[in-house]
Amino acid sequence: MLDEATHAALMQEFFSENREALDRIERGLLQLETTPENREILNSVFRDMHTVKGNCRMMGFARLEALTHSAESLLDLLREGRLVFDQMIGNQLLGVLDAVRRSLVVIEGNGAEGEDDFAALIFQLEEFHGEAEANRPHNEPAPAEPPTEAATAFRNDAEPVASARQESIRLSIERLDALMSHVGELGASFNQLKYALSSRRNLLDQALENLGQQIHVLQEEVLQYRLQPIGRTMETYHRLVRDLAVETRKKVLLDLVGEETEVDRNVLTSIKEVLGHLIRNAVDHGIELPEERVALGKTPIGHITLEASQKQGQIYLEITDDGRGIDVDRVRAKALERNLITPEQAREMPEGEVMRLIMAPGFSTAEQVSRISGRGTGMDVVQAAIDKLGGTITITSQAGQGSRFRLRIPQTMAIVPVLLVTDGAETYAVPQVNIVELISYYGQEVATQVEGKMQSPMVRVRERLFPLIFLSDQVAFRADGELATTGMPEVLAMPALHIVVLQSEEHCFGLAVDGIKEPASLVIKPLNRIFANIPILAGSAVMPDGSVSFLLNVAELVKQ
Amino acid sequence: MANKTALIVDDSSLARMMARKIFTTRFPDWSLLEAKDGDEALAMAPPVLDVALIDFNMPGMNGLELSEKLLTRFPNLAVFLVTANIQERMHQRAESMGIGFIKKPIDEPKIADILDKIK
Repeated sequence: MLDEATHAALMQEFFSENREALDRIERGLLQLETTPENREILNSVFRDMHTVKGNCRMMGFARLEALTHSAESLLDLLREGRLVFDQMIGNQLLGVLDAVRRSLVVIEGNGAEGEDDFAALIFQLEEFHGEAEANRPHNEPAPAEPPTEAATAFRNDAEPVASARQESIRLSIERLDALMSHVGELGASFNQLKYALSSRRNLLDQALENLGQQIHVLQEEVLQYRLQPIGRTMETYHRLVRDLAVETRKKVLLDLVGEETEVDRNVLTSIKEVLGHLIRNAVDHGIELPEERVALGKTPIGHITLEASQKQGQIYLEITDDGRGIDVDRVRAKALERNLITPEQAREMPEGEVMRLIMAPGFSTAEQVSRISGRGTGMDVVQAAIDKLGGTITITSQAGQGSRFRLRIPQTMAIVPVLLVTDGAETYAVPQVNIVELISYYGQEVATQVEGKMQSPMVRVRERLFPLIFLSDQVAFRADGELATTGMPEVLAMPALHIVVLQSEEHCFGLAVDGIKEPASLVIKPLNRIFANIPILAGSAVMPDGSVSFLLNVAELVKQ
Repeated sequence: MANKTALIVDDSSLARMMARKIFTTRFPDWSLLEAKDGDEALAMAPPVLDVALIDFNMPGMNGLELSEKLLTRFPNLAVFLVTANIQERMHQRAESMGIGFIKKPIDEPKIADILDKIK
């Protein structure tokens, strides 16, 4: 296809570029003998080998290509830190340089590769690959940029090999779950012991406290075993975004941050779908078509960032896009149209709350169902899944600028620090994470601290007024489905008022209870099927006396 | 046919030379710009650009990063990553930006295939 003169010119370039690259590789390898972990040199040596390989392929020298490919793969392992450069590897690679140079001389002489297929050299290079595989740490997330087939093949192995050097252990999930269950029992036994002895407390107190401390440490320890980096789950969204972008003719770039963040594997399973849904929404509803974006003065490529981080036992997940944002007025109008809110609510509702309406059941409707997202069961499913995990979601959005969905989810689900409170004979558990403070008012104080506003009791705490919700109203499940309401006259007649001040996202409110008991760490189990559809309950736990108490879902109480 | 402009970005001078030969012999009404890395490409990019052929593995920014920058500047640019093999997620990230792929090494039929589609 190319004439002789052209071919000659290309061959000349082939020799001169390869020789320059080989010289640089040689210098680099020698420098690496004194600074074996210098990434800059490793990268440049890798790239030069990559160039030589590409050149050999371009000019059709298959044997040289195979040899340099193998050397490139080894260099890739080095620059990723899966292998450490040592003299043996250095000698091996220098051997490759010599072989390539000899071969170039042969090609220069007669225009063709020699008979040598470099089998021995390639075999030796691949020995090192095996070593890297053995060094592969357990639970390793995929490294940043492996460009060769060999490297990719390594990563596709389903079962990572545990390594002696990393001192990692492998534990089947069944065994881990069993261990977890034992620890739960241990915790329950401790609670029983504490209950039985509570009437005779003297020397026992210290012993009990120690035991409790040990159990707590053990629980924390075991929970650590269940943690996994979220990165591998996040990785799967590249494919999702790619498919959606192709289907919608949009241009989208997904960036992942905080892939090393560790999450309980149960939580991980549950949030996988939630995140997928939010990312799907971001591409489908958020990001505009490229021409639309350009007309708006935006870059044609829409950006979606998925960021994970961890703080004080909570996982924060943020999905941010730079798309069209959520039009608050449209949401308000639509919610009104669907009778999700009253006209008065529509007027008074702050923007943040209006935004939350997109997660109300029945908000999305059939007429705007697109094939990708939205079947009328979109965001309410997300909300339900997050509630179930004891998490919260907040939405911030600016029309034309984009949206941000921020999820907060407990890192583990199994053991929750709570405060026990009572309503009549029943005990309920309130997650400690939501508690701001505890207040009790007696006699006259009740009348001075509680005031009525639009018939609803409000409590005054240091000059701030908070809505006051009565636990007894919330758990009086009346046959007609209506909530009981404790009015001002009843409140003012109360001899004492015990209030747990709670916070859920930006909302603060007082929860009036019959009694405040003690703090505890409870092993929380999913709700029995009979209770599963009561939104204000998040789970159940077996109490020391064998009775069952319920964990309250504070995010749901807020909505009442 | 109006004159069109293509840009090849590759740190291998042989690869650039090969592209140059193919363009001058077979696609003479195209003008071809050459850059050895992302920075050079961004510095030399003319006001109008129709096609970019970009090597993935380069010193400095990689091909994907350069593609994103070029697409931001030239929303209608046809971008192709020239790769021998690429990690699956890089492939997906590129495709989600509407970037195409050419398998290394570039040759005349592959280039013709692309240029024919850009009218």
